[in-house]
Formats: sequence, structure tokens, C-alpha cells
Amino acid sequence: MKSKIGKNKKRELLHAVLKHLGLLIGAFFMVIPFLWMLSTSFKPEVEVLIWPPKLLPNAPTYLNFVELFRQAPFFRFFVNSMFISIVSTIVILLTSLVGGFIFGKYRFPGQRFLFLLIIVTAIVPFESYVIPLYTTMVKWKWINTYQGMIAPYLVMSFGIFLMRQHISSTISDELMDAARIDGCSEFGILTRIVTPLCKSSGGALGIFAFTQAWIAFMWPLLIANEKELFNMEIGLTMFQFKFSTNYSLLMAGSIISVFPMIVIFILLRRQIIESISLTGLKG
Amino acid sequence: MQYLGLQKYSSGERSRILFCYLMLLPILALFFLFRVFPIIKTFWMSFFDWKLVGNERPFLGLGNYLMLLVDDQFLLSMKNTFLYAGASVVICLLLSLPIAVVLAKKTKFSGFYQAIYFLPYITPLVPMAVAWKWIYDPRYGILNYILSIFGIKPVGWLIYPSIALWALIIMNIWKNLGYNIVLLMVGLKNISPVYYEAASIDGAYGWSCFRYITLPLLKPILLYVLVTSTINAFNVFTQVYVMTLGSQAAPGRAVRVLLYDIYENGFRYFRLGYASAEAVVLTIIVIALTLIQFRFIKSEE
Amino acid sequence: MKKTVSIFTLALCLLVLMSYPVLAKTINVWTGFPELEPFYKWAGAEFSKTHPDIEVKVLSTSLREFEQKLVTSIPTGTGPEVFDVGPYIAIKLIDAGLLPVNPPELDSYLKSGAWSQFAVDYVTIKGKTYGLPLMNGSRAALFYNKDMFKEAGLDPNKPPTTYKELMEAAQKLTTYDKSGNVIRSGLSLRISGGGSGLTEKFRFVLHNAGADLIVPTGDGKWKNGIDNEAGRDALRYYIDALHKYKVDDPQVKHDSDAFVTDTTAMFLRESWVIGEVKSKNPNLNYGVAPMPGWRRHDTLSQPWAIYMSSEGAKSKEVVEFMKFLTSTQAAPQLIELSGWIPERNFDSASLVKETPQYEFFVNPPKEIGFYADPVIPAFDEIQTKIADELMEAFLNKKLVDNPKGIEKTVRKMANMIDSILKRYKAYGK
Repeated sequence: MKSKIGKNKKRELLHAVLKHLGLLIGAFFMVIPFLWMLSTSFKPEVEVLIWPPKLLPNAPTYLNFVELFRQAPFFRFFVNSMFISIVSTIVILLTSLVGGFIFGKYRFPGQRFLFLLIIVTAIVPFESYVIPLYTTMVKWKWINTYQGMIAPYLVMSFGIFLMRQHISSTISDELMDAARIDGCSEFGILTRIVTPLCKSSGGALGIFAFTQAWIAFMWPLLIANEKELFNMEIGLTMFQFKFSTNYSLLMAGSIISVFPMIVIFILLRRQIIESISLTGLKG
Repeated sequence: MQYLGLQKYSSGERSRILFCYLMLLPILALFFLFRVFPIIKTFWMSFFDWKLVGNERPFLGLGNYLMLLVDDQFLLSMKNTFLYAGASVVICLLLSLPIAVVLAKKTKFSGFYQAIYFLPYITPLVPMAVAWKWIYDPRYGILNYILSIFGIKPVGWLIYPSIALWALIIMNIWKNLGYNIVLLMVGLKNISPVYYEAASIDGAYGWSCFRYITLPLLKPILLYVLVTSTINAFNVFTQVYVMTLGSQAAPGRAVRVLLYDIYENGFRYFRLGYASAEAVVLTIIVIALTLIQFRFIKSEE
Repeated sequence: MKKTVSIFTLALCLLVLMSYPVLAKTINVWTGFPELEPFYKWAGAEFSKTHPDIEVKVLSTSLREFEQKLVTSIPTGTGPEVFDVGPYIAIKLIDAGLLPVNPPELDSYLKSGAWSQFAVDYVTIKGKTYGLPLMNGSRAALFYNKDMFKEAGLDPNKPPTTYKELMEAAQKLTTYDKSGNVIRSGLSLRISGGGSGLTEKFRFVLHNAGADLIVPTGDGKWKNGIDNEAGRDALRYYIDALHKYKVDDPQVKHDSDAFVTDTTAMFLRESWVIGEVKSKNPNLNYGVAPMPGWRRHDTLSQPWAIYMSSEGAKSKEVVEFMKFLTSTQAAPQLIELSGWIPERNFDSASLVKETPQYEFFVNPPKEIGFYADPVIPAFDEIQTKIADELMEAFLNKKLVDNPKGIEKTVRKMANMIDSILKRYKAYGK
């Protein structure tokens, strides 16, 4: 008996060590480019191109970050990015939740067709219908406006798709029927039962929607005719001169750009990890 | 009501259907305004020699499509895109599954690992490209340095066409690993522990547990990850675009993907009609792949 | 009572109307060169001093993205009043009737002697002038590292003047490691990074070897000009450099990044490198020499012009702003703030005194001729598509001492050029 337990413990330990080793190696690869960005953002420009490259700067400086805000209204860019991303995320969450619920738990004529249509609009690459969309914005006088910039980011086909998958697999018909017997309206089912149960997929979707809007580049650039409307991603291009790049400022700007998304991720991570138990009904 | 063929539904069901349409109305309106109508316009443009600037736009019928069939650059882009998408999606999925399984258990550091693995997904693309060009540098890049520890000769990652595409595939996998992992964790977390308890009572554990319980219950999320990864991979543009800029860049032809070709035809050479036709072809291909994936995974239910 | 109210309301309205502030007129300036933004900002501030009701707003982003934004907004009338853009885009806008001809005021200013005839001809399309050449985007020269010359036993004051001398010097300047790999290239060629830039640099060699990508056929049409001995010589030059004499290698660093980090001894580039060196390696001991010659001795020199939109051209202030941007007062600011050389004639004495390397760019020797891209819509596509072919050819070791292989490769490119010309209906015999 004793030797068997000893063996099991050893195996568990080995497993744990291998697991951590694997994860660490993987994590190292994930993080290398980011470490480069971080180290370059603290380097003065003369050190940027040293070969072979050094990870730690000889004369680390935070001046790049200061210069960043001096050269361009970076704070304004930051605020713009935040505004656009937050609005986009909220609207996408709402529309995806409702859409996912309807497509997931109901049957109605035209359902298949509409759902396929929504998926198809995600398949068509955005770059190919940018021009007609732009012409519409010109007609509505939405050029150089916030609403013009946010317009394409108000719905996300993948969002509806995700919520549909999640809802249809975690919310049973019996649950809904039980609610109806209790006198709950359809709308009530949506607000009182479905919404609380979608925290994990909603969290994931929130991150993706936020990221999509945050790194949006082509469309906001087309719409914005004034620098005041630029977002951070566009702001970063200001350091790419025709033939050369101001690497240290570019990296400093990128670090600032990544930061909020890390924060959002950490905030929403809990939503994703916390498991919501449905055993009450499944049993 | 009769026209919709709704007489077969009861009144309760009818009001439910009305509820559906009502709730969907604003959503569909947004889709139609900002997606469907522009897409229809693009489809329309594909039948003309539609120039970005200029007023002469002669009707071509299927002219653009026929030109595509003999366009070397288009065919090359097609080949590259298929390879790129196929490799990225499959490898990324295979790697992310075990990692997600491990990270979904609430162990120490799992939060830390999750954040690290997600970092690539949220990194802005231009600085990422610069960083990767340094990593891929044949003389001083970290990748070749690590390989040299194992005695492997330096690889010209971005220099030689045959390897350059793989260099970009690796970059794509790196970027999307976090995306896959997050989604798979959502799926894993929502598998009720009851199933595992029942299984362990029956004496099953480890691999068979994974194969017969986890995998089937992950189907809905797996389908989502597969479909969206495929669509995103076929529509890749910015990542490839930034890697081909400037010096030390990837050789253009080897990494020419469909969307890059579309972009160049439309915005560089102003051949909007031709680019639209190309986009239509790309769309049809991806729709076909998506339907296949739906069929394949659904049928196994 | 009613009368009083109505009079009072009328008076109020008049008062409101009169006190309504005269809105500042905005001149929007867009550019695809973020480094030009400080210059435009300065110009706007100066201009507002003499025109207090004008506000100049500047918008810049990276080049390709800017071009995309420009071509989307000009046709829909949502574009800027003033912008600078490359000739390959300008010609398409002009063809579509979207850019206005220069009003008489600008036309006479252009021809007043402030610009060379070459520059004036450059912005003349079918007898009419469009825009004003602001700066010189492409005057290229030979940059060389003087310390490395001394080290290799070469005279730092006698840089190579022909392509043959260039190759010989490069062989002496290249350093290798034990396995024979290049550590420091003697001559850094543009062999990667695709795009029209690669072809443009290839043309430095091609043109002076005696060929051009396209040549006019006399009836306003063109055909390829590389399927000849000069074209083959140019390709062979690159192949020999890379694979026979090994003065350059795909695996080492290239371009300005290599020059400022002492990993190359020579390369051919434009004046912006001077600014790069100042900021990234100010102690570099380097010189600038004219482009080497071969059968011809010319250098690429491409003005980059500013234009007005059709709406902008209607405004007196916009026209004056255009003149200001290209004035002698603005010229030194252009170099100081952006590193680009003004196209118009100006007093460059103090500039050259401070940074002698600018000498060649502002006072090119009279013996050297200039050439520029043919300004036709097809050219951009030709350059871009040929770049892919060239990149592949450069990596092909089998082309060393292989005249048949080189001939075949060049012919393939020539046919590609011709078919593109045909598609643009610009092909002639």
C-alpha cells in the first residue's frame, strides 16, 4: 500500500513539473515580442538599433513616454479609443445577447436564412465593402463624426454566433418552460434568467469586442478628417516616417496602447473563470 | 399572419414569434444598414470595370471573374491563403486545447498564465511586426539563437519564399493561441462537474474522460472556434501587410494573401470592380468551408 | 402689445445675427509624411499671423494609409484643401478631372524662375500645370563610411565614380567571418521589402547601365525598355554582387538601419538619411558622393508636389498658402523641421556649412543629369509587380555566370511590363 501511494505521489509531482515546464516555455514564447517592445520603449534612440540587440537598455529613460504626449495629443487619442471601444462593446454585448438568445432558443420562419445571412456578413472581408459604406456615411454627413466611426462596430456576427452556441447548450427548454409557468414573460426570461447565466461568454465576448474596436485602424482613419478624432492605433502611425521609424516612441505608444486591454482582460477574466452551476435543473 | 404561413402555430406560439421579430428588428436594421447594403453594392460593382476614381464604368458581365481565372497573382494568393489558413487553424487548435484544459483548472498561477497567453492577441500589429522582424533576423534574432543551442543552422526566416510563409503562420498561431484558449475555457467551464463525477464512479479517467465527455460537450464552442478561426485566417490582411513593409521584410510574392491582393487591386491600382469580384470569390470559398464545418460537426451530434 | 413684442423679437434677432462670431476659415492640410507635420504646423502658424481669420489644421499618417484616405475622400468632396501626394496618385486624380489646373497666379509663380525647368516640366501634364513642387523626394546619392574606407586602404576623399569602381571598392570593404559569411556588407543593395521602392532602387543601376523600364514609342505610347544588353547588365550586377563577389547578403542588415549601425560601408539613398544619422549615430564619419555612372551618368530626382482640391482652388487664401509653403522663407524650415530638401532654388550656404553632406543634394554637379518616373497611371503598377519578379531573381544563385538564364529572366519581366501597358491601353510599337 505504502509504495503505491508513494508512486502515485511521484507521478503527480512529475506531472505537475512537466505541466509547469511546458507552460513556462510556452509563456516565454508568448512574451518575447512584448519584452522587446517594453525594453525598446525605455531606450534612448541611439540604443535602439544596437546589434546584437540587448534586452536591458544601457541608459534607461522614461523620456520617450513624455515625448509621446508632447508630439501628439496622445491623451486625446487614448480617450477616443476608450470611448469608441466602450460604446462598441456595450452595444455588441446587448445585440449579441438578444440575437443569440432568439436564434438559439426559438423557432420562427426565416430563422435559418437570417442566421446564415448574419454569418455571411462576417465572412465577407470588411475591406471589400469599405467604399460603399463610406459613401453612405458621406450621404448621412457622418464623416468626421464619432457616430460615423462607431457605425460598423455596433454589431458583431461572431458575437451573436457565440452567444447562440453558448445559450443553446447551457439553457434548457425545461428551464424556460418552468419560468413561463411561473408567469414570466418572454422578455422576462431574457432579462432574469438568460442574462445572469451568460457571464462567462459575455465576458469573453466583451474582451473580443473591445479588442476589435481598440485596434481598429482602417475605418477610423477613413472617417476622421481631424486629428482630434484619431484613436491610438492611428496615433502610432505618426512615428512611421516615409523611410524610417522612430522605434522608441513607437514602442512607448504601443505599451500605453496595450495597457488598458490588459486591465480589461484582468477585470473580465473572473467572469469567464467563475463557473455558474446549472446542476439545479440538470440533475 | 396567414401570408407568413403561421396558421400552423398556436396563438401562444404566434405571440412568441412576434416577440422574436420585434427583438430582432433593431439588430437586423443595424446589419442591413452597415453590412448587407454595402455588401450588395460591392457585389454589384464586381460586374463592372469600376474604377475608384473616374466616371467611365463599363459593364463587364462576368469579365472580371474570367480575368481572375488567368491572373497569376490571384492564383498565387489563393494558394498561399489556403496554406496559411489551413496550417494556422489546425495547429493553433491542437495546441490550444491541452493548454486550455490545463489552465481551466484553478491552480496557482493559472491567472498569470492566462494573461500571458492572451497578451499576443491584444498587442497592436505594427509594433508586433517590428518585434517579430527582430526575432526572425537570421543573424541576431532570438529564434535562430535558440535553434543554434540545439545545433540547428540559422534559418533565413523572412528571406526565402518557402520559409517566409511559415514564419507568418507561426506568428499567426502565436497571436491567436490566446483567443482560442479563452473561448475553450468558456466551453470547459460550462461542462457541469456532474458528468465527471459520474464518469469517475464508472472508473473512467484521464484520456477517455477527455475523449468521451469533454470533447463532445465542447462541440458548440469547438464549432465556434473552428469557424471563426477559419474565417479570420482566410481574411488575414494587416498582419501580413505590416510584415512586408520596409527592409528586412518578407518577400512579397511568397506571402501574398487574397485580401492583400484585393486591397492592392482596389486601393493601389484603383480597380475596384476587379477587387470586388475577387472579394466575392473569397467569400464564396469561405462560405463553402464554413458550411462544411457546420455539417461535419453537427452530424456528429 | 403685439407690435412691441414683434419689434423686440426682430431687434433681438438682428442683435444675435450681428454678434454671431465670424468663424475662422479652416485650411485642412493632409500629408502621408508624418515628418512633414512640424513643417506644415509652423507654416500654418506663420500664415495666421498675416491672415488672422485663417486656421490651418494638419493631419498626417503613414503613406499608404494616407493615400487610401485621400483617394476615398477627394471624389466625395470630403477631402482637404491642401495636400501633398506622389505623382502616381496625382496623375490618376488629374485624369479623372478631380484636380484643378493651376490658377494663373500659381502658374506664373511656378514659371518665375524659382524652380528649375526640370521641375516645371515635371508638373506639366498635356500643357497645363498642376500643383507646386514642394520638395525633392528622390534625389539619390552614394553614402559611404569614411572610416571604413581608410581601414580598407581606400582614399575617403575619392569615392567610386563608376559602377565598376563601386563593385571593386565594395569587394575591399566587405568583411567576412570564419565560415565565409558576410558580416559587414561592402555595398548594401535593396533586395527585400517589395513594393515599388525596390524597383526604384534597381533603376539606379538600370538607368545608368543604359536602359529604362519603359520607353516612349513616339506616339504618346510606351513599351518595355529592358529587353536589351543594358537590362541584362543591370540584373547581372545585382547577381554578381550577391552571389559571385559576395559584397552583400540577404541575411545581413540592409539600408539605413545598417548604415547607422556600421554594418554596411556604402549604399545608395536619398537625403533623409542625413537626418537619420544625426539622430541615431551622430558620430558616424561619412560622406555623400554623386551616384556612380556607367554608360550614362544621371541620378533619379523626383519632385514631390503640393496640390489644392477643386474647392480649395476657389479660395484666395488657399492659393496664397500654397505660395507661402514654397517660398524662400519656408525653404530652410522645411529642411530643419523635416529633413527634406526643398525643390525650389534657395540659399543653401548655411545649411551646407553646418552639414556638408547636404552639398550634393542642394548643389548637384552640372555634369550629372536627372531623370524621373514617367508620369503615367500604369507606371506604379509596373514598378510594384516587377518588384516581385526582381526579388525572386535576386535570390536565384543559378543566375551566376549564366547569360542565358539572365536573358530569360529579363525577357519575362519585359513581357510582364508590356502586358500591363496593354491593359492600360498605353502600349505602342
